[in-house]
Amino acid sequence: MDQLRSELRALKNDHKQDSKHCRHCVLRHKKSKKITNIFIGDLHSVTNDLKKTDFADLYALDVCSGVDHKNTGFSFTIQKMCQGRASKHGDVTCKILFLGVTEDIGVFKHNTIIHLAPRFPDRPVEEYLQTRDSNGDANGTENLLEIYPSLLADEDFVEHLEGKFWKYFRNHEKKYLFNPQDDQAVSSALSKEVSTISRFRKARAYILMIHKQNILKDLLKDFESGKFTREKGLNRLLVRIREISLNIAATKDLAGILNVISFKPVFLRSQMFLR
Amino acid sequence: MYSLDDLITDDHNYAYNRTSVFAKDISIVEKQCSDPTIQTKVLEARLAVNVYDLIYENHPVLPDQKIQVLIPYVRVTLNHHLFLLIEMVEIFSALSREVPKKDIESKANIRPQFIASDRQGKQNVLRKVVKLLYSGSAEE
Repeated sequence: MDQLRSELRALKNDHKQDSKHCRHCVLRHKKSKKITNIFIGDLHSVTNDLKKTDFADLYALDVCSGVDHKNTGFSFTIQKMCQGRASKHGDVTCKILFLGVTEDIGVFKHNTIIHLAPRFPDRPVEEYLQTRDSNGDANGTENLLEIYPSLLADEDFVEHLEGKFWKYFRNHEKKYLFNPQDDQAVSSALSKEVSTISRFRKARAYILMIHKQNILKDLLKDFESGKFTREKGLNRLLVRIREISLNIAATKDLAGILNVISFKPVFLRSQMFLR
Repeated sequence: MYSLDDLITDDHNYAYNRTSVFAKDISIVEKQCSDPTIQTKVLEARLAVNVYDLIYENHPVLPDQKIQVLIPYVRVTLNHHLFLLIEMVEIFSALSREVPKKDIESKANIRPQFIASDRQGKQNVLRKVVKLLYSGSAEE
């Protein structure tokens, strides 16, 4: 243990600010034990050129053949039952076009970012939200659960999710986790940007969650250097959502949902309890 | 034999063993006892997984393992017959918490040793620290 501490101290003393090959920074921020990317949805819907990313090999087996691009992603339906049969009306659906979870576990880090693209852009998001609000109703008889985060992701974010992920995370960490005063400026700049970007046919992804977790904190105490030394022991979690809405077309549908969600588990558990 | 400089490039994939898994159709279908013709597709999904394992032990820069999972679509339908399934999921998730951690050392022994040339002396300290950290002495 003492040997390890002295080696770490040597690396810390060798730290060079803004150097590409600083061994201290490599061990603190770059080196990964395991980097995991889980994508739900088609990567083509959020990136212009898949060949530029590290994930082109995933498509070697023609993984999206026979799937309509509008049916990709995550779909969750609460089905309304009527006299033991599925009713055609009153289902509640939540559709997410793309969900990406990236987890990077290193020697001193355990970082996670979740990206999300809400729905396929038949219309620009802003336009859709405006018309929906002015009509004051959901789309016909469809009950929709919608989630819209507020932090817009970079247009080429998929290119940064593996080999360059540590750098991508460092940028976002500085921007959103440690500089809250800049955060306001960034988000206002982004909201202006949305009006132009959302005109694109390609879906835009948002950052739903950023989680920075430090591990081996005892060793990190002596190893951390630079601007964020005081922050070394702190974990940070940021979840930013602009809107969560459940649009219910009819009151009876709400009764159907409550029936599915609340009554049955209580019933099942009470049965198990009685045994 | 690859030198360390060769490995620090944009294309790292030749330094990894790859395991691929592809499942074209995964589905759970629920039929009603009273009328088997009535059925609900509880889950429909497709899955592709690539796992990359680094062939070099204690490499100072490259990630030791990269996991890529692509699920082009997943559709879940919930109705009031499904809470037994939810109870099962709860039981399985509780069980998975008790699974012991993988023995990192035994896995590392299988991999070939990375031999660095003299001009990579600067990276040796880093490699040594990574090795010490992985050997578990950091958690003492």
